[in-house]
Amino acid sequence: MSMQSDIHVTPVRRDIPEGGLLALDTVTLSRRHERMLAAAMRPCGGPAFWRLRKQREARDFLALAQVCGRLAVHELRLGEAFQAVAYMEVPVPCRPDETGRLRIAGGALIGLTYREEAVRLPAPGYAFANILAPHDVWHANVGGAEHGQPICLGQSMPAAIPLRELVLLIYGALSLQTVMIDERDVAGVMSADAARWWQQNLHRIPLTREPFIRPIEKGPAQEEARP
Amino acid sequence: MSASSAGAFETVVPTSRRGRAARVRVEARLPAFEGLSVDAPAALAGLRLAVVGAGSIGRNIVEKAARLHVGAVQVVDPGRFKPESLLTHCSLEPAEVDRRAPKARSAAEMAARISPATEVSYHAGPFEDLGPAALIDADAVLMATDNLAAEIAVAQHCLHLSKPLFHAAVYGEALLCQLRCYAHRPGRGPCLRCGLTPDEEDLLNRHVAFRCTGVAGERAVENRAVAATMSTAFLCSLAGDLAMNQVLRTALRLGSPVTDCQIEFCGYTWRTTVSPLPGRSPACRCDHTPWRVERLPGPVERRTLRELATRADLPGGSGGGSVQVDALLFVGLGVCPRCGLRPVRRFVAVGRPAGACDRCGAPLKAHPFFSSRPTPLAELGDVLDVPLGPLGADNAAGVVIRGADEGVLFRRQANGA
Repeated sequence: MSMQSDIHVTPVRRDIPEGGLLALDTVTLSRRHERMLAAAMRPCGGPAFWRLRKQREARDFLALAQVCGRLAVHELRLGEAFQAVAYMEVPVPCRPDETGRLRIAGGALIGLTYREEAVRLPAPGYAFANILAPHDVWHANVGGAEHGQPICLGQSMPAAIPLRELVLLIYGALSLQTVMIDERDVAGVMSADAARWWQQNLHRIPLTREPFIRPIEKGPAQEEARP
Repeated sequence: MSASSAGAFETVVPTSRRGRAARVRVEARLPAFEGLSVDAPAALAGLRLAVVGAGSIGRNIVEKAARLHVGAVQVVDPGRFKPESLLTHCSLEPAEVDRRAPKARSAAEMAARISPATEVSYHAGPFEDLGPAALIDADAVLMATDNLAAEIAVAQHCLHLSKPLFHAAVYGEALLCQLRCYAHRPGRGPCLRCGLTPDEEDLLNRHVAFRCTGVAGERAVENRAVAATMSTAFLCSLAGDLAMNQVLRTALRLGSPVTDCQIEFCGYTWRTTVSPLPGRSPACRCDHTPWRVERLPGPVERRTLRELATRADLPGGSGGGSVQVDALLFVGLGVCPRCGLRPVRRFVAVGRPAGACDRCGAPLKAHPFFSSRPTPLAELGDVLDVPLGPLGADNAAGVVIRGADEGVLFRRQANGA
């Protein structure tokens, strides 16, 4: 997997399904996403139930990217685990500069992994997503770069949690709409230094109140550039 | 009593194989069972059992297996004794509670004292730490834990290896002992995960918690059972005895086979009920694929994955499947504290350093996103042609090559080659 961070969300026509996120399967995939899904399905391995599940999750994930207006899927792999690299437009807190001023990145390149055993058993909240860029995230629930910046989404994720819910949790966590900053709690805080800093800066929480699904702007819909 | 390490298991070596215990022969008290058609002492001496969970039920199973002079017992339990263990664990000395001894080691040492001829080994850690070949030699697996997640992992393991599984449990409030017997015949029969009720599913999600320290490879699973199993010592030992009775019947072919069923004994009604277990569900999230077991051809460190994939001869060839070596991770990229992401491309034990940075020599940590288990063969490229030794798997006990609906477990030769 490459780690380019110069990815931006390409504006596409966004048709939010009537059933909301539960109706992602009714969203017509763009041609690019269709091709991406077909390419990822070719080496799709594992037992039948897992192949089917990966296919469904991958389709939902691509549909979610089209619907939300803040997610660009860069890579998709279904060989064994479900793996994706996606850029999410979300304010991301980065380590304060020398003057102590918090820096905020406009988005994060996220490595998503959904393993087969997570369908059968509850999994740790840090087992699903790693922030691949920026490299200096300053967040109580994001582990250090030496551990690959895993983002902790909770003490335990229930077995077979839908991927779309994980994506929403990631957005909520990065934007600090949901955050756990009690550094004494071993089951949530991955950076005690950042947790203490945020306790002193509660007024900055959340970084945005924007919902994950961006409201559709008035005016002519923008079409995806098709080759 | 001393211990030596054999992979993930520690082997218990009795201080003497010449004492009084060693002179006792099982025939001295073994009944002439009705309908017995096999050489019972020989059958028992050849019987190899794995016991997962060495608490109040599992400890009793280990003890009774040792008193039958079975050939081998493997014990797995991550826990240590608490003062309350004295209330439910049979044959437990207060001194062991005082020093918070690991349950697995304590049970294994007890078995070795009772039957010095029995090969006894233990793993005082979670079952999930063990690789796919860990229980390969067991003729039957007995399970008695208070951890539903671990039980599902054990059942999944037994399904792949087509190992019979005996699941013993108690419900103290109703004076109820329960034994579920899974035959795990390839491709059919009930599966523990298939049979979970919605309540059990909910319990599974509520009872497991993880600590963030797990991200650094430390043990991270916590069993948040709302309350400890409430029962009595006699009910727990009765559940263990029911399990051992089934094992004995199966090993000595006594009576008609009792498989794929649930046996319940209720102390209130004084009734025993035998009922069939529910069949496999098409919606089950367990991998029901049975694995073929083959010996690794020659020394493991000289074998390449391409060779094994070819030997496995699974549909789709080496490009369509995946590989797992013991419980090792395949680490594509590691994190260097100075140089950032650096290539690793070898197998690494969870929580261990992933080698040294090729630029500055600093120790690398596995990057979770670029580490996998199992790993698609198609993503391994030139690694497929490198012998397993230089790939960090020189001591591998088992390599699984898995295709879409089949799998092959290559196990190390018995002499370690």
